[in-house]
Amino acid sequence: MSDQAAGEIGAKRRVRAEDEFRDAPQSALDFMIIRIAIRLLLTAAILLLWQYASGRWIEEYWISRPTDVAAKIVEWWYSGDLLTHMGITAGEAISGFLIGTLAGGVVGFIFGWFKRVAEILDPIIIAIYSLPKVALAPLFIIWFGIGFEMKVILTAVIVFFLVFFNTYSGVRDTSRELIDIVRLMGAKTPQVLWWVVLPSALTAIFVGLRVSVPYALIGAVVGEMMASNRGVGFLLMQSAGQFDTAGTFAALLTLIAISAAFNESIRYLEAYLLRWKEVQR
Amino acid sequence: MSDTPVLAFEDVTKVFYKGSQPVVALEGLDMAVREGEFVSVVGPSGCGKSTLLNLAAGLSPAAKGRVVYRGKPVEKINTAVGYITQHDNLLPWATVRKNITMGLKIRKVPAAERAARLESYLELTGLKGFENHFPAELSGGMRKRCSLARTLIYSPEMVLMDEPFSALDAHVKMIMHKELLRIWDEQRTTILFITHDLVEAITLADRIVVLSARPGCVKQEMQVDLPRPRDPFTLQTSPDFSVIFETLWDGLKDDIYKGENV
Ligand SMILES: Nc1ncnc2c1ncn2[C@@H]1O[C@H](COP(=O)(O)OP(=O)(O)OP(=O)(O)O)[C@@H](O)[C@H]1O
Ligand SMILES: [Mg+2]
Repeated sequence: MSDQAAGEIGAKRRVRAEDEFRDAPQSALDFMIIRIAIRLLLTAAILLLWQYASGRWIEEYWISRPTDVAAKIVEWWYSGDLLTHMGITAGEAISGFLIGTLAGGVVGFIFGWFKRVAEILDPIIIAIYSLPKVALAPLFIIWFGIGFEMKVILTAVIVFFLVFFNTYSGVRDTSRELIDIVRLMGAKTPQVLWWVVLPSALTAIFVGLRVSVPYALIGAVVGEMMASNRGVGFLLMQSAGQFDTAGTFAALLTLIAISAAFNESIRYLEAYLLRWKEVQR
Repeated sequence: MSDTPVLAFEDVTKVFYKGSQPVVALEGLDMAVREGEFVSVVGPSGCGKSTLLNLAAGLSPAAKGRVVYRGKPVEKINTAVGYITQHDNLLPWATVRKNITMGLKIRKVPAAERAARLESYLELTGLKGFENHFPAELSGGMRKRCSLARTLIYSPEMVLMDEPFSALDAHVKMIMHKELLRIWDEQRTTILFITHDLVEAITLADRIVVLSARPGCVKQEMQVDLPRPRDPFTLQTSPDFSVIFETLWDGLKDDIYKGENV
Protein backbone atom coordinates (compact mmCIF):
# COMPACT_ATOMS: atom_id res chain seq x y z
CA MET A 1 0.00 0.00 0.00
CA SER A 2 2.87 2.32 0.68
CA ASP A 3 4.00 1.75 -2.89
CA GLN A 4 0.63 2.68 -4.27
CA ALA A 5 0.47 5.76 -2.08
CA ALA A 6 3.85 6.81 -3.38
CA GLY A 7 2.48 6.38 -6.90
CA GLU A 8 -0.40 8.75 -6.19
CA ILE A 9 1.75 11.41 -4.63
CA GLY A 10 4.19 11.25 -7.49
CA ALA A 11 1.54 11.24 -10.24
CA LYS A 12 3.11 14.36 -11.72
CA ARG A 13 6.57 12.89 -11.91
CA ARG A 14 5.64 9.40 -12.96
CA VAL A 15 8.23 7.48 -14.95
CA ARG A 16 7.21 7.00 -18.56
CA ALA A 17 8.41 4.26 -20.85
CA GLU A 18 9.98 6.75 -23.26
CA ASP A 19 12.09 8.34 -20.52
CA GLU A 20 15.76 7.65 -20.80
CA PHE A 21 17.73 6.30 -17.90
CA ARG A 22 21.35 5.58 -17.48
CA ASP A 23 20.83 2.02 -16.31
CA ALA A 24 18.11 1.11 -18.78
CA PRO A 25 18.65 -2.23 -20.53
CA GLN A 26 19.72 -0.60 -23.85
CA SER A 27 23.01 0.52 -22.42
CA ALA A 28 23.73 -3.13 -21.52
CA LEU A 29 23.16 -3.95 -25.18
CA ASP A 30 25.49 -1.15 -26.26
CA PHE A 31 28.14 -2.55 -24.02
CA MET A 32 27.66 -6.01 -25.47
CA ILE A 33 28.25 -4.69 -28.98
CA ILE A 34 31.43 -2.96 -27.86
CA ARG A 35 32.57 -6.14 -26.15
CA ILE A 36 32.02 -8.21 -29.27
CA ALA A 37 33.77 -5.61 -31.42
CA ILE A 38 36.84 -5.67 -29.18
CA ARG A 39 36.93 -9.44 -29.29
CA LEU A 40 36.73 -9.48 -33.08
CA LEU A 41 39.49 -6.89 -33.40
CA LEU A 42 41.74 -8.83 -31.07
CA THR A 43 41.15 -12.07 -32.99
CA ALA A 44 41.89 -10.30 -36.27
CA ALA A 45 45.11 -8.87 -34.82
CA ILE A 46 46.28 -12.31 -33.71
CA LEU A 47 45.48 -13.84 -37.09
CA LEU A 48 47.37 -11.06 -38.89
CA LEU A 49 50.36 -11.50 -36.63
CA TRP A 50 50.29 -15.24 -37.18
CA GLN A 51 50.06 -14.79 -40.95
CA TYR A 52 52.96 -12.31 -40.89
CA ALA A 53 55.17 -14.37 -38.59
CA SER A 54 54.73 -17.54 -40.56
CA GLY A 55 57.66 -18.06 -42.90
CA ARG A 56 59.37 -14.91 -41.62
CA TRP A 57 60.04 -15.47 -37.93
CA ILE A 58 59.02 -19.07 -37.57
CA GLU A 59 59.23 -21.72 -40.19
CA GLU A 60 55.90 -22.45 -41.84
CA TYR A 61 56.30 -26.17 -41.19
CA TRP A 62 55.74 -25.61 -37.47
CA ILE A 63 52.88 -23.19 -37.38
CA SER A 64 51.35 -23.27 -40.86
CA ARG A 65 49.47 -20.03 -41.63
CA PRO A 66 45.89 -18.82 -41.24
CA THR A 67 45.20 -18.76 -44.97
CA ASP A 68 46.34 -22.37 -45.33
CA VAL A 69 44.27 -23.41 -42.33
CA ALA A 70 41.26 -21.62 -43.78
CA ALA A 71 41.84 -23.33 -47.11
CA LYS A 72 41.93 -26.67 -45.35
CA ILE A 73 38.66 -25.95 -43.57
CA VAL A 74 37.05 -24.90 -46.84
CA GLU A 75 38.36 -28.07 -48.47
CA TRP A 76 36.89 -30.21 -45.69
CA TRP A 77 33.67 -28.27 -45.89
CA TYR A 78 33.26 -29.06 -49.60
CA SER A 79 34.32 -32.67 -49.27
CA GLY A 80 31.72 -33.03 -46.51
CA ASP A 81 34.42 -34.17 -44.08
CA LEU A 82 34.01 -31.19 -41.80
CA LEU A 83 30.36 -31.65 -40.94
CA THR A 84 30.57 -35.44 -40.80
CA HIS A 85 33.46 -35.52 -38.37
CA MET A 86 32.21 -32.59 -36.34
CA GLY A 87 28.82 -34.20 -36.11
CA ILE A 88 30.32 -37.46 -34.89
CA THR A 89 32.48 -35.83 -32.25
CA ALA A 90 29.71 -33.49 -31.10
CA GLY A 91 27.28 -36.39 -31.06
CA GLU A 92 29.59 -38.44 -28.85
CA ALA A 93 30.33 -35.53 -26.55
CA ILE A 94 26.70 -34.49 -26.19
CA SER A 95 25.38 -38.02 -25.66
CA GLY A 96 28.08 -38.73 -23.12
CA PHE A 97 27.48 -35.39 -21.48
CA LEU A 98 23.75 -35.99 -21.15
CA ILE A 99 24.12 -39.52 -19.84
CA GLY A 100 26.87 -38.50 -17.41
CA THR A 101 24.90 -35.48 -16.22
CA LEU A 102 21.74 -37.45 -15.67
CA ALA A 103 23.50 -40.27 -13.83
CA GLY A 104 25.70 -37.88 -11.83
CA GLY A 105 22.71 -35.74 -10.94
CA VAL A 106 20.60 -38.67 -9.77
CA VAL A 107 23.37 -40.31 -7.75
CA GLY A 108 24.40 -36.90 -6.37
CA PHE A 109 20.82 -36.33 -5.21
CA ILE A 110 20.69 -39.73 -3.52
CA PHE A 111 23.98 -39.08 -1.73
CA GLY A 112 23.04 -35.56 -0.72
CA TRP A 113 19.57 -36.49 0.48
CA PHE A 114 20.31 -39.74 2.29
CA LYS A 115 23.21 -38.98 4.61
CA ARG A 116 23.64 -42.66 5.47
CA VAL A 117 24.24 -43.67 1.86
CA ALA A 118 26.88 -40.99 1.56
CA GLU A 119 28.62 -42.03 4.78
CA ILE A 120 28.86 -45.64 3.64
CA LEU A 121 29.79 -45.18 -0.01
CA ASP A 122 31.91 -42.03 0.17
CA PRO A 123 35.33 -43.77 0.29
CA ILE A 124 34.48 -46.03 -2.63
CA ILE A 125 33.43 -43.10 -4.80
CA ILE A 126 36.55 -41.16 -3.86
CA ALA A 127 38.72 -44.16 -4.73
CA ILE A 128 37.18 -44.48 -8.19
CA TYR A 129 37.30 -40.72 -8.65
CA SER A 130 41.02 -40.55 -8.00
CA LEU A 131 41.62 -42.76 -11.02
CA PRO A 132 42.43 -40.74 -14.15
CA LYS A 133 39.36 -41.52 -16.21
CA VAL A 134 41.11 -41.62 -19.59
CA ALA A 135 43.06 -44.58 -18.24
CA LEU A 136 39.79 -46.49 -18.51
CA ALA A 137 39.76 -46.11 -22.29
CA PRO A 138 41.64 -49.37 -23.06
CA LEU A 139 39.27 -51.30 -20.82
CA PHE A 140 36.27 -49.71 -22.53
CA ILE A 141 37.71 -50.64 -25.92
CA ILE A 142 37.76 -54.27 -24.80
CA TRP A 143 34.25 -54.03 -23.44
CA PHE A 144 32.49 -51.88 -25.99
CA GLY A 145 34.65 -52.04 -29.11
CA ILE A 146 35.98 -49.03 -30.94
CA GLY A 147 32.67 -47.55 -32.07
CA PHE A 148 30.42 -44.72 -30.98
CA GLU A 149 29.42 -46.42 -27.70
CA MET A 150 32.92 -46.57 -26.32
CA LYS A 151 33.45 -42.80 -26.69
CA VAL A 152 30.04 -42.00 -25.29
CA ILE A 153 30.68 -44.16 -22.26
CA LEU A 154 34.16 -42.75 -21.69
CA THR A 155 32.73 -39.22 -21.86
CA ALA A 156 29.81 -40.13 -19.63
CA VAL A 157 32.12 -41.55 -16.95
CA ILE A 158 34.24 -38.40 -16.92
CA VAL A 159 31.22 -36.09 -16.77
CA PHE A 160 29.48 -38.28 -14.20
CA PHE A 161 32.01 -37.57 -11.47
CA LEU A 162 32.14 -33.83 -12.04
CA VAL A 163 28.38 -33.49 -11.97
CA PHE A 164 28.01 -35.99 -9.16
CA PHE A 165 30.31 -34.15 -6.74
CA ASN A 166 28.76 -30.77 -7.42
CA THR A 167 25.20 -32.05 -7.18
CA TYR A 168 26.03 -33.88 -3.98
CA SER A 169 27.41 -30.80 -2.27
CA GLY A 170 24.63 -28.61 -3.68
CA VAL A 171 21.93 -30.89 -2.30
CA ARG A 172 23.68 -31.25 1.03
CA ASP A 173 24.03 -27.48 1.41
CA THR A 174 20.36 -26.72 0.84
CA SER A 175 19.06 -24.48 3.61
CA ARG A 176 17.51 -26.58 6.35
CA GLU A 177 15.19 -23.71 7.21
CA LEU A 178 13.77 -23.46 3.71
CA ILE A 179 13.12 -27.20 3.62
CA ASP A 180 11.42 -27.03 7.02
CA ILE A 181 9.24 -24.11 6.09
CA VAL A 182 8.00 -25.78 2.92
CA ARG A 183 7.44 -29.05 4.82
CA LEU A 184 5.47 -27.10 7.37
CA MET A 185 3.24 -25.83 4.58
CA GLY A 186 2.35 -29.44 3.97
CA ALA A 187 4.72 -30.32 1.12
CA LYS A 188 5.67 -33.98 0.64
CA THR A 189 9.22 -35.07 -0.16
CA PRO A 190 8.88 -34.95 -3.99
CA GLN A 191 7.58 -31.38 -3.75
CA VAL A 192 10.37 -30.41 -1.38
CA LEU A 193 12.92 -31.86 -3.80
CA TRP A 194 11.41 -30.11 -6.80
CA TRP A 195 10.70 -26.71 -5.25
CA VAL A 196 13.52 -26.34 -2.78
CA VAL A 197 16.39 -28.76 -3.15
CA LEU A 198 16.73 -28.81 -6.94
CA PRO A 199 16.64 -25.03 -7.43
CA SER A 200 19.00 -24.58 -4.52
CA ALA A 201 21.44 -27.19 -5.82
CA LEU A 202 21.23 -25.85 -9.36
CA THR A 203 23.92 -23.24 -8.74
CA ALA A 204 26.40 -25.96 -7.77
CA ILE A 205 25.15 -28.29 -10.51
CA PHE A 206 25.89 -25.64 -13.13
CA VAL A 207 29.42 -25.28 -11.84
CA GLY A 208 29.74 -29.01 -12.53
CA LEU A 209 28.20 -28.67 -15.98
CA ARG A 210 30.47 -25.82 -16.97
CA VAL A 211 33.68 -27.61 -16.00
CA SER A 212 32.32 -30.76 -17.64
CA VAL A 213 32.16 -29.29 -21.14
CA PRO A 214 35.86 -29.45 -21.97
CA TYR A 215 36.11 -32.84 -20.27
CA ALA A 216 33.25 -34.16 -22.34
CA LEU A 217 35.29 -33.30 -25.41
CA ILE A 218 38.39 -34.88 -23.91
CA GLY A 219 36.46 -38.12 -23.56
CA ALA A 220 35.23 -38.06 -27.12
CA VAL A 221 38.50 -36.92 -28.71
CA VAL A 222 40.81 -39.19 -26.74
CA GLY A 223 38.51 -42.06 -27.60
CA GLU A 224 38.74 -41.17 -31.27
CA MET A 225 42.49 -40.73 -31.19
CA MET A 226 42.99 -44.13 -29.63
CA ALA A 227 40.65 -46.06 -31.79
CA SER A 228 38.69 -44.67 -34.64
CA ASN A 229 38.49 -43.75 -38.28
CA ARG A 230 35.95 -41.04 -37.70
CA GLY A 231 35.53 -37.83 -35.73
CA VAL A 232 37.63 -34.73 -35.19
CA GLY A 233 40.06 -36.73 -33.03
CA PHE A 234 40.68 -38.94 -36.04
CA LEU A 235 41.14 -35.88 -38.32
CA LEU A 236 43.65 -34.59 -35.82
CA MET A 237 45.63 -37.83 -35.69
CA GLN A 238 45.52 -38.27 -39.45
CA SER A 239 46.72 -34.73 -40.19
CA ALA A 240 49.45 -34.89 -37.59
CA GLY A 241 50.47 -38.31 -38.85
CA GLN A 242 51.00 -36.82 -42.31
CA PHE A 243 52.87 -33.84 -40.82
CA ASP A 244 50.08 -31.68 -42.18
CA THR A 245 50.28 -28.69 -39.81
CA ALA A 246 47.48 -26.78 -41.51
CA GLY A 247 45.19 -29.78 -41.13
CA THR A 248 46.15 -30.18 -37.49
CA PHE A 249 45.35 -26.55 -36.77
CA ALA A 250 42.11 -26.83 -38.72
CA ALA A 251 41.09 -29.83 -36.57
CA LEU A 252 41.96 -27.91 -33.40
CA LEU A 253 39.89 -24.94 -34.53
CA THR A 254 37.01 -27.28 -35.19
CA LEU A 255 37.28 -28.54 -31.64
CA ILE A 256 37.31 -24.99 -30.33
CA ALA A 257 34.17 -24.26 -32.32
CA ILE A 258 32.36 -27.30 -30.90
CA SER A 259 33.48 -26.45 -27.40
CA ALA A 260 32.48 -22.80 -27.72
CA ALA A 261 29.02 -23.65 -29.01
CA PHE A 262 28.62 -26.18 -26.23
CA ASN A 263 29.76 -23.69 -23.58
CA GLU A 264 27.51 -20.98 -24.89
CA SER A 265 24.44 -23.23 -24.73
CA ILE A 266 25.20 -24.09 -21.12
CA ARG A 267 25.69 -20.41 -20.32
CA TYR A 268 22.32 -19.53 -21.83
CA LEU A 269 20.59 -22.27 -19.93
CA GLU A 270 22.26 -21.16 -16.74
CA ALA A 271 21.42 -17.50 -17.26
CA TYR A 272 17.79 -18.49 -17.70
CA LEU A 273 17.45 -20.97 -14.86
CA LEU A 274 19.45 -18.90 -12.40
CA ARG A 275 17.95 -15.57 -13.44
CA TRP A 276 16.74 -15.02 -9.88
CA LYS A 277 20.36 -14.46 -8.90
CA GLU A 278 20.76 -11.52 -11.26
CA VAL A 279 20.40 -8.61 -8.87
CA GLN A 280 20.74 -5.05 -10.09
CA ARG A 281 23.06 -2.83 -8.13
CA MET B 1 -13.60 -29.69 23.96
CA SER B 2 -13.23 -25.94 23.88
CA ASP B 3 -11.45 -26.25 27.20
CA THR B 4 -8.55 -28.28 25.85
CA PRO B 5 -6.05 -25.78 24.56
CA VAL B 6 -4.96 -25.87 20.92
CA LEU B 7 -1.36 -25.60 21.94
CA ALA B 8 0.20 -26.22 25.34
CA PHE B 9 3.72 -26.09 26.70
CA GLU B 10 4.03 -28.31 29.77
CA ASP B 11 7.12 -27.60 31.82
CA VAL B 12 9.23 -27.29 28.69
CA THR B 13 13.00 -26.89 28.82
CA LYS B 14 15.13 -26.41 25.75
CA VAL B 15 18.90 -26.61 25.79
CA PHE B 16 21.34 -25.89 22.98
CA TYR B 17 24.90 -27.07 23.10
CA LYS B 18 27.85 -25.06 21.99
CA GLY B 19 30.39 -27.83 22.06
CA SER B 20 29.78 -29.34 25.49
CA GLN B 21 28.72 -25.96 26.89
CA PRO B 22 24.94 -25.96 27.41
CA VAL B 23 22.90 -22.83 26.63
CA VAL B 24 19.52 -23.07 28.31
CA ALA B 25 17.11 -21.18 26.07
CA LEU B 26 13.86 -22.05 27.86
CA GLU B 27 13.40 -23.44 31.34
CA GLY B 28 10.20 -24.78 32.85
CA LEU B 29 7.95 -22.99 30.40
CA ASP B 30 4.25 -23.47 31.07
CA MET B 31 1.70 -21.82 28.84
CA ALA B 32 -1.30 -22.61 26.70
CA VAL B 33 -3.17 -21.11 23.78
CA ARG B 34 -6.90 -21.73 23.47
CA GLU B 35 -8.99 -22.15 20.35
CA GLY B 36 -9.48 -18.87 18.51
CA GLU B 37 -7.32 -16.97 20.95
CA PHE B 38 -4.82 -14.29 19.98
CA VAL B 39 -1.87 -14.63 22.32
CA SER B 40 1.15 -12.40 22.20
CA VAL B 41 4.51 -13.26 23.71
CA VAL B 42 6.91 -10.48 24.65
CA GLY B 43 10.32 -10.74 26.23
CA PRO B 44 13.87 -9.51 25.98
CA SER B 45 16.04 -10.39 23.03
CA GLY B 46 17.53 -13.87 23.23
CA CYS B 47 15.08 -15.14 25.85
CA GLY B 48 13.87 -17.99 23.65
CA LYS B 49 10.85 -16.57 21.84
CA SER B 50 11.79 -17.93 18.43
CA THR B 51 12.82 -21.18 20.08
CA LEU B 52 9.32 -21.44 21.54
CA LEU B 53 7.76 -21.19 18.08
CA ASN B 54 10.19 -23.74 16.65
CA LEU B 55 9.09 -26.15 19.35
CA ALA B 56 5.43 -25.54 18.54
CA ALA B 57 6.10 -26.12 14.85
CA GLY B 58 7.87 -29.37 15.64
CA LEU B 59 11.10 -28.16 14.10
CA SER B 60 13.12 -28.86 17.21
CA PRO B 61 12.58 -31.24 20.12
CA ALA B 62 12.27 -30.20 23.76
CA ALA B 63 14.91 -31.38 26.22
CA LYS B 64 12.36 -31.80 28.98
CA GLY B 65 8.59 -31.51 29.28
CA ARG B 66 6.04 -31.75 26.48
CA VAL B 67 4.69 -29.57 23.72
CA VAL B 68 1.11 -30.63 23.04
CA TYR B 69 -0.99 -29.74 20.00
CA ARG B 70 -4.70 -30.55 20.27
CA GLY B 71 -4.02 -33.17 22.91
CA LYS B 72 -1.19 -34.88 21.02
CA PRO B 73 2.48 -34.37 21.74
CA VAL B 74 4.31 -32.63 18.90
CA GLU B 75 6.89 -35.13 17.70
CA LYS B 76 7.36 -34.33 14.06
CA ILE B 77 6.78 -31.31 11.83
CA ASN B 78 3.42 -29.84 12.79
CA THR B 79 1.73 -29.11 9.48
CA ALA B 80 -1.42 -27.89 11.20
CA VAL B 81 0.29 -24.60 12.00
CA GLY B 82 1.40 -21.87 9.64
CA TYR B 83 4.70 -20.29 10.62
CA ILE B 84 5.85 -16.80 9.70
CA THR B 85 9.49 -16.95 10.73
CA GLN B 86 11.64 -14.09 11.94
CA HIS B 87 13.74 -14.33 8.77
CA ASP B 88 11.38 -14.20 5.85
CA ASN B 89 12.57 -17.54 4.40
CA LEU B 90 11.07 -16.89 0.99
CA LEU B 91 12.31 -19.14 -1.80
CA PRO B 92 14.84 -16.90 -3.57
CA TRP B 93 14.30 -18.64 -6.91
CA ALA B 94 10.53 -18.26 -6.89
CA THR B 95 8.68 -15.11 -7.89
CA VAL B 96 6.40 -13.35 -5.42
CA ARG B 97 3.46 -15.06 -7.09
CA LYS B 98 4.96 -18.53 -6.74
CA ASN B 99 6.03 -17.92 -3.18
CA ILE B 100 2.61 -16.74 -2.11
CA THR B 101 0.58 -19.42 -3.88
CA MET B 102 2.80 -22.31 -2.85
CA GLY B 103 0.61 -23.35 0.11
CA LEU B 104 -2.45 -23.35 -2.13
CA LYS B 105 -0.69 -25.49 -4.73
CA ILE B 106 0.32 -28.00 -2.08
CA ARG B 107 -3.34 -28.14 -1.05
CA LYS B 108 -4.37 -28.64 -4.70
CA VAL B 109 -6.55 -25.53 -4.75
CA PRO B 110 -7.83 -25.01 -8.32
CA ALA B 111 -5.97 -22.43 -10.41
CA ALA B 112 -8.91 -20.03 -10.65
CA GLU B 113 -9.31 -19.82 -6.91
CA ARG B 114 -5.56 -19.53 -6.46
CA ALA B 115 -5.53 -16.53 -8.75
CA ALA B 116 -8.45 -14.90 -6.96
CA ARG B 117 -6.92 -15.36 -3.53
CA LEU B 118 -3.52 -14.22 -4.76
CA GLU B 119 -5.16 -11.07 -6.04
CA SER B 120 -6.74 -10.25 -2.70
CA TYR B 121 -3.55 -10.92 -0.73
CA LEU B 122 -1.45 -8.85 -3.13
CA GLU B 123 -3.92 -6.07 -2.53
CA LEU B 124 -3.80 -6.55 1.21
CA THR B 125 -0.02 -6.56 1.42
CA GLY B 126 0.52 -3.83 -1.15
CA LEU B 127 2.56 -6.08 -3.41
CA LYS B 128 0.43 -5.53 -6.49
CA GLY B 129 2.61 -5.07 -9.55
CA PHE B 130 5.42 -7.08 -7.99
CA GLU B 131 4.03 -10.56 -8.70
CA ASN B 132 6.86 -11.36 -11.07
CA HIS B 133 9.67 -10.00 -8.92
CA PHE B 134 12.10 -12.25 -7.16
CA PRO B 135 12.64 -11.80 -3.39
CA ALA B 136 16.08 -10.24 -3.98
CA GLU B 137 14.31 -7.48 -5.91
CA LEU B 138 12.08 -6.53 -2.98
CA SER B 139 12.74 -4.28 0.00
CA GLY B 140 13.06 -5.82 3.46
CA GLY B 141 9.56 -4.72 4.41
CA MET B 142 8.10 -6.06 1.17
CA ARG B 143 9.71 -9.43 1.81
CA LYS B 144 8.12 -9.48 5.24
CA ARG B 145 4.73 -8.69 3.77
CA CYS B 146 5.24 -11.37 1.15
CA SER B 147 6.00 -14.00 3.77
CA LEU B 148 2.92 -12.89 5.68
CA ALA B 149 0.74 -13.32 2.60
CA ARG B 150 2.30 -16.70 1.86
CA THR B 151 1.14 -18.10 5.20
CA LEU B 152 -2.19 -16.35 5.68
CA ILE B 153 -3.37 -17.19 2.15
CA TYR B 154 -3.86 -20.88 2.87
CA SER B 155 -5.64 -20.25 6.20
CA PRO B 156 -3.85 -22.68 8.52
CA GLU B 157 -5.86 -23.42 11.66
CA MET B 158 -3.20 -21.85 13.85
CA VAL B 159 -0.61 -19.25 12.89
CA LEU B 160 2.74 -18.70 14.58
CA MET B 161 4.20 -15.26 13.91
CA ASP B 162 7.70 -14.21 14.85
CA GLU B 163 7.98 -10.42 14.85
CA PRO B 164 6.28 -10.23 11.46
CA PHE B 165 5.98 -6.44 11.42
CA SER B 166 9.30 -5.47 12.97
CA ALA B 167 10.75 -4.32 9.65
CA LEU B 168 7.83 -2.07 8.81
CA ASP B 169 7.54 1.64 9.52
CA ALA B 170 5.05 2.76 12.15
CA HIS B 171 2.35 3.77 9.72
CA VAL B 172 2.41 0.64 7.57
CA LYS B 173 2.59 -1.38 10.74
CA MET B 174 -0.71 0.06 11.94
CA ILE B 175 -2.35 -0.66 8.62
CA MET B 176 -1.09 -4.23 8.85
CA HIS B 177 -2.44 -4.46 12.40
CA LYS B 178 -5.81 -3.35 11.19
CA GLU B 179 -5.81 -5.89 8.38
CA LEU B 180 -4.58 -8.68 10.61
CA LEU B 181 -7.33 -7.94 13.12
CA ARG B 182 -9.88 -7.94 10.30
CA ILE B 183 -8.68 -11.30 8.99
CA TRP B 184 -8.60 -12.71 12.48
CA ASP B 185 -12.12 -11.44 13.18
CA GLU B 186 -13.31 -13.16 10.03
CA GLN B 187 -11.53 -16.47 10.41
CA ARG B 188 -10.92 -16.70 14.16
CA THR B 189 -7.62 -18.41 13.51
CA THR B 190 -5.67 -19.14 16.66
CA ILE B 191 -2.61 -16.90 16.70
CA LEU B 192 0.60 -17.00 18.69
CA PHE B 193 2.36 -13.74 18.03
CA ILE B 194 5.92 -12.90 19.08
CA THR B 195 6.96 -9.29 19.34
CA HIS B 196 9.22 -7.02 21.30
CA ASP B 197 6.82 -4.14 20.82
CA LEU B 198 4.43 -3.79 23.78
CA VAL B 199 2.12 -1.42 21.93
CA GLU B 200 1.76 -3.96 19.17
CA ALA B 201 1.08 -6.74 21.65
CA ILE B 202 -1.63 -4.77 23.44
CA THR B 203 -3.23 -3.63 20.20
CA LEU B 204 -3.59 -7.14 18.86
CA ALA B 205 -3.78 -9.71 21.62
CA ASP B 206 -6.41 -11.18 23.91
CA ARG B 207 -3.69 -12.17 26.30
CA ILE B 208 -0.06 -11.26 26.71
CA VAL B 209 2.62 -13.56 28.06
CA VAL B 210 5.79 -11.93 29.31
CA LEU B 211 8.91 -14.07 29.30
CA SER B 212 11.88 -13.54 31.59
CA ALA B 213 15.41 -13.04 30.32
CA ARG B 214 17.22 -16.22 29.30
CA PRO B 215 16.52 -18.92 30.30
CA GLY B 216 13.01 -17.92 29.37
CA CYS B 217 10.02 -18.84 31.47
CA VAL B 218 6.65 -17.19 31.98
CA LYS B 219 7.12 -14.18 34.17
CA GLN B 220 3.75 -12.55 33.85
CA GLU B 221 0.48 -13.16 32.06
CA MET B 222 -2.11 -10.54 31.39
CA GLN B 223 -5.55 -10.54 29.88
CA VAL B 224 -6.15 -7.60 27.54
CA ASP B 225 -9.75 -6.66 28.04
CA LEU B 226 -9.92 -3.86 25.53
CA PRO B 227 -13.18 -4.06 23.55
CA ARG B 228 -13.15 -5.40 20.01
CA PRO B 229 -13.16 -4.50 17.20
CA ARG B 230 -10.13 -2.39 18.00
CA ASP B 231 -8.87 0.47 15.93
CA PRO B 232 -5.06 0.47 15.97
CA PHE B 233 -5.04 4.16 15.08
CA THR B 234 -6.95 5.37 18.13
CA LEU B 235 -6.52 2.57 20.66
CA GLN B 236 -3.38 4.02 22.19
CA THR B 237 -5.22 7.11 23.39
CA SER B 238 -7.59 5.14 25.63
CA PRO B 239 -6.78 5.26 29.36
CA ASP B 240 -7.24 1.48 29.69
CA PHE B 241 -4.45 1.07 27.20
CA SER B 242 -2.07 3.10 29.33
CA VAL B 243 -2.89 1.08 32.42
CA ILE B 244 -2.10 -2.17 30.67
CA PHE B 245 1.04 -0.70 29.17
CA GLU B 246 2.33 0.51 32.55
CA THR B 247 1.69 -2.83 34.22
CA LEU B 248 3.47 -4.80 31.51
CA TRP B 249 6.33 -2.38 31.26
CA ASP B 250 6.93 -2.68 35.01
CA GLY B 251 7.28 -6.42 34.58
CA LEU B 252 9.48 -6.21 31.53
CA LYS B 253 11.88 -3.37 32.12
CA ASP B 254 14.34 -5.01 34.54
CA ASP B 255 14.83 -7.90 32.18
CA ILE B 256 15.13 -5.80 29.05
CA TYR B 257 18.52 -4.64 30.19
CA LYS B 258 19.58 -8.21 30.84
CA GLY B 259 18.61 -9.19 27.30
CA GLU B 260 21.28 -9.91 24.75
CA ASN B 261 22.06 -7.25 22.15
CA VAL B 262 19.10 -5.00 22.94
N1 LIG C 1 20.26 -23.27 16.71
C1 LIG C 1 20.77 -22.79 17.84
N2 LIG C 1 21.96 -23.26 18.31
C2 LIG C 1 22.47 -22.79 19.46
N3 LIG C 1 21.91 -21.86 20.21
C3 LIG C 1 20.73 -21.34 19.82
C4 LIG C 1 20.12 -21.78 18.61
N4 LIG C 1 18.96 -21.10 18.45
C5 LIG C 1 18.88 -20.29 19.52
N5 LIG C 1 19.94 -20.42 20.34
C6 LIG C 1 20.15 -19.72 21.61
O1 LIG C 1 18.95 -19.76 22.34
C7 LIG C 1 18.66 -18.52 22.91
C8 LIG C 1 17.28 -18.06 22.51
O2 LIG C 1 17.26 -17.81 21.12
P1 LIG C 1 15.96 -17.30 20.38
O3 LIG C 1 16.28 -17.17 18.93
O4 LIG C 1 14.80 -18.14 20.73
O5 LIG C 1 15.77 -15.84 21.01
P2 LIG C 1 14.60 -14.77 20.77
O6 LIG C 1 13.88 -14.61 22.03
O7 LIG C 1 13.83 -15.14 19.58
O8 LIG C 1 15.45 -13.45 20.50
P3 LIG C 1 15.13 -12.22 19.50
O9 LIG C 1 14.09 -11.40 20.14
O10 LIG C 1 16.44 -11.50 19.44
O11 LIG C 1 14.71 -12.81 18.20
C9 LIG C 1 19.77 -17.57 22.49
O12 LIG C 1 20.66 -17.44 23.56
C10 LIG C 1 20.46 -18.27 21.35
O13 LIG C 1 21.84 -18.01 21.39
MG1 LIG D 1 13.68 -14.43 17.70
